[in-house]
Amino acid sequence: MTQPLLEVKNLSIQFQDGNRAVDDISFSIADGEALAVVGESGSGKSVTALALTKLLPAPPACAVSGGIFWRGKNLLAADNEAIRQVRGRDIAYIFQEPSTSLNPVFSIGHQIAEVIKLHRPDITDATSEIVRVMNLVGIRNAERRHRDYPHQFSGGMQQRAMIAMALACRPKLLVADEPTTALDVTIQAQIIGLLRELKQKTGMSALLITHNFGIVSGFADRVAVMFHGKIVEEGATREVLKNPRHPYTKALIDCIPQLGQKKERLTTIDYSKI
Amino acid sequence: MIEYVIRRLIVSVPMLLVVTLLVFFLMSLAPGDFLDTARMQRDISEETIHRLEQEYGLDKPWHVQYGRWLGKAAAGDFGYSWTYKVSVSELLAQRAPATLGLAAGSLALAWLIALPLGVLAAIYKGSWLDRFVSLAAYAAISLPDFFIALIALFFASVSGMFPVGGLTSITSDFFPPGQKFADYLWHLALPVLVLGLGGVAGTLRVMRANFLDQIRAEYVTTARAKGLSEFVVMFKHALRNAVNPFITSLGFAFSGLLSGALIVENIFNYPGLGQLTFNAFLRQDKQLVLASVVLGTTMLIIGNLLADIFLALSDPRIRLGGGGPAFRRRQIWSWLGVAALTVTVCYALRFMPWESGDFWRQLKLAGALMLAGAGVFVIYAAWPVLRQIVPRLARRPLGAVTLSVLALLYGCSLLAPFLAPYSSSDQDLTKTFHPPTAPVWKDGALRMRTYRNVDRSIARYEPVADGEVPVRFFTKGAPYKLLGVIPLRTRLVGVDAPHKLYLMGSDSTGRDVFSRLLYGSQVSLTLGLIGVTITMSLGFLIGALSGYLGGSFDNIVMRLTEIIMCIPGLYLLIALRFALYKFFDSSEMFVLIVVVLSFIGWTGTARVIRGMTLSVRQRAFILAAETMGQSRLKILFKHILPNIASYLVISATMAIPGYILGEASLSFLGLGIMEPSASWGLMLSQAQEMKVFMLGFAWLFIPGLLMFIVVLTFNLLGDELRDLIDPKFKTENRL
Repeated sequence: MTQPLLEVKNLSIQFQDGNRAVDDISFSIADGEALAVVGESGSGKSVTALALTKLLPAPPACAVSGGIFWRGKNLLAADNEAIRQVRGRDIAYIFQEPSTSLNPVFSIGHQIAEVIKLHRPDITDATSEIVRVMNLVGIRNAERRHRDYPHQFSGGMQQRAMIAMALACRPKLLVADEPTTALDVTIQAQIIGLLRELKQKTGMSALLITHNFGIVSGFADRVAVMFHGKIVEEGATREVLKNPRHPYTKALIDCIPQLGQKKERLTTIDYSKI
Repeated sequence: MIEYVIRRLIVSVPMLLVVTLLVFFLMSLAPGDFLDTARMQRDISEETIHRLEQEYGLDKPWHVQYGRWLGKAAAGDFGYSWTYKVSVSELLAQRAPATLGLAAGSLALAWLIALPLGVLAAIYKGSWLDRFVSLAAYAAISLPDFFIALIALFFASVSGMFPVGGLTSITSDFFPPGQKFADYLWHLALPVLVLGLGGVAGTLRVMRANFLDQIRAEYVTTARAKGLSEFVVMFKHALRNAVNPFITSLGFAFSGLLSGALIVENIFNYPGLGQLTFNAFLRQDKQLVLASVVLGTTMLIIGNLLADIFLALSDPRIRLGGGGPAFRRRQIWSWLGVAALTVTVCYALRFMPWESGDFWRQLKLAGALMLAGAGVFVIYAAWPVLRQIVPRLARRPLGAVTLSVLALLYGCSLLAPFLAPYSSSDQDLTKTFHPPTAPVWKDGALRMRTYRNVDRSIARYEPVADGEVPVRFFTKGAPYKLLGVIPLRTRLVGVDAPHKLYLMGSDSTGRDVFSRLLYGSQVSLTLGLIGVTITMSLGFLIGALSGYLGGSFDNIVMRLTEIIMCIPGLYLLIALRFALYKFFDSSEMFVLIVVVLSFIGWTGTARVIRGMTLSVRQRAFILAAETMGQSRLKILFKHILPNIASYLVISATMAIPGYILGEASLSFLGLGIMEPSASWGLMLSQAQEMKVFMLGFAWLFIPGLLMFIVVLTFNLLGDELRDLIDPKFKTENRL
């Protein structure tokens, strides 16, 4: 079996107040594969995503143990220089709130150019590269709009801009932390569609963090369910959705409202049964 | 952009008009008029005086005079100065550039030092660098400007490295232009350093706070995730954003600079606008005063405008997003409203029976009642916050220290007459500038050395051998009233007459410094508390109502605060003090100063409270309360107040130093507490004579030390409170 692109082994992350946000989890992502990590708020999924390239603020986080292997190299043991090489070039991020995740005082083009100049010094004409990548994510009039500032973009466009920025250096792994949570439903569908398209076109892998099972099936090959810092179930998306084995997964799937359902109350999770 | 600038300029015009109206009115309250100086000069004939009186309409009511002045001013004629014997415009043109140079230099210095230090302190928050820098910043602003200036001047005279005041050397007219410029810079060095020092401290704290805000922003995580180095993330991404709120505070800083310049220019004999204005006040040269204040205000308005322009240039959201608050037609009406309000108030004030004693008694009673009400309000608002916070505060080392220091000082202040060996006016002209009397342990009892004056001309004393006298406890001294009610005569310590126990030496008339310090503490310490009570209550009432009600009330209040804030602080202080002086006798100066300081202080608080109210108002629980039918007043007190109470407590703590230092500055200028009362500011100003420096009467500076301790303590306490109450500021590192 070929070496997985990313392999997380026995990762545990403890916070200053004694809380174990991530409790001995292991998972892996193969080349070209999309893994979705699903869980409710506080399950530890965002913390996991940030920990991959040591982006966790510490304090309040405190002890990180285990191994995060990128193509066999342990990122947790890597020094600053090595980690910075991985960030942006091999592993790229998009975050939940594009309006605050983009620097308001620099233009979109400038922020994309930053990452290009950093990781691809061979590119002499940054502007055309910027325009190319903006076109790739569906931002029209890129030749003019790259000079615009984030506040001049709508929410959906801002998220596309973030995706463009993430893709500028053709990363092998895209980590998307709740990329659609802050957007309305129709834009959500567009963004997920875009991500799927990009994954097919470029063959990159993806780690999708979400609490919404609804977007998982449109995008992820495999899904891992997190609950209180542990992975309680993992498998191919279709399999998990059709035959959930863990009671928590069952409960999560049951929570998704179905069109045409005749119900008076929405289903909630009864934690005592898990 | 251009549109934005033009809008702001148009708004400045009514602002200036109302300011001039206000100042004109204030000056009209002060006794005498600007021709007094002329009248005193014998070479000016009666007829000329009469003619001038008619020309300036001095017999006409003040609003007519104002109209005349305005008309002339619009044409550029600001009148003639009888004290300087030149036209006012000429005088201003001469002096203004000097002050501008001073202000610009200080600002540049403050930025150069404070910006990088503030950033570093934020990045390494909690480290020894951060603590040291923060402490140094607080220390720098805990001393009154004039004190720092005096020390600098003393240093200049002793070391000879810098000129002792002035703008140019005597022979500078003969210098070539290059050398002239260098000479100018050499003279500018110390004043800029002194003025900028306070600026550095304030700038540093603001920069640190802003930067801390930015460090936690999400775009910082994004920048890191892109692989950028920490240096680039901090100094390019975060810094660019941190500078924006900082630029906004520039206008305010400029006001502080102009006020500070007044004192610094006085001490360094630097011929700028500040020195001019102050002399003009002293000599009742009203034409000059008016024109100076107008100029100072104009400079401030332009400074604010420049700051706003810089902000728009720096922040694309403002530049391209909306250009600031929309220029609604409503704004013009609100300006007219404010102008009408000011005129009405001024008129009403003039018509009041100021001469009648009855009226004054009623007014004082009303004032006392309002003060009591304000006190009740403050306690009601602060109690829930304090009850929670003080135990937590006491557990932290710095919190415990500051609280103990304050408790000790206020405790001593309450018991001042008991602890003080003598009353504050107890003179002894045979023992002027006496050094502290040393205690000795002899023959099994505590004794005090006595001294002999060996050289009257330089006040040198030598201890008398075997001349020790016993120190007595619980002696009978001059009668007093403890806490103002209990009549007693017992004093804690004393010695038998004719000897004097000078624990901290004596001053120029032989009065015990220690006693005066204690009595003075009653003034200096309670001034802060009372002033802050007034400011907080007034600020809350007006600010919260303004934010909650909105509409025209809000508009008018905002314009009012803008007007008050666009007059440089110390200028307004002095104007008010002059205007109201004749209504208070010397024992009531304390009240006058509190009133004057509070009048300026409430505006800043009101604006911030308004902002906080606006954001709280939008919260759902306010809507819920409204739909339940709760009255607005009740919502204000039961819902909004608790949410902003913690800010009130913090800002009250940080505002007290301002009162203490403000009183010190006023007393230094001779406009504050008067003899024979004691206050730390007054005592310090009496120590400013050169002979004190030269002959080394160091004990006369103890009031300065105490002031420094109290102010620093309050500042540090406020900082601790803020750390406790605002959980945003916690340390950050990368794993």
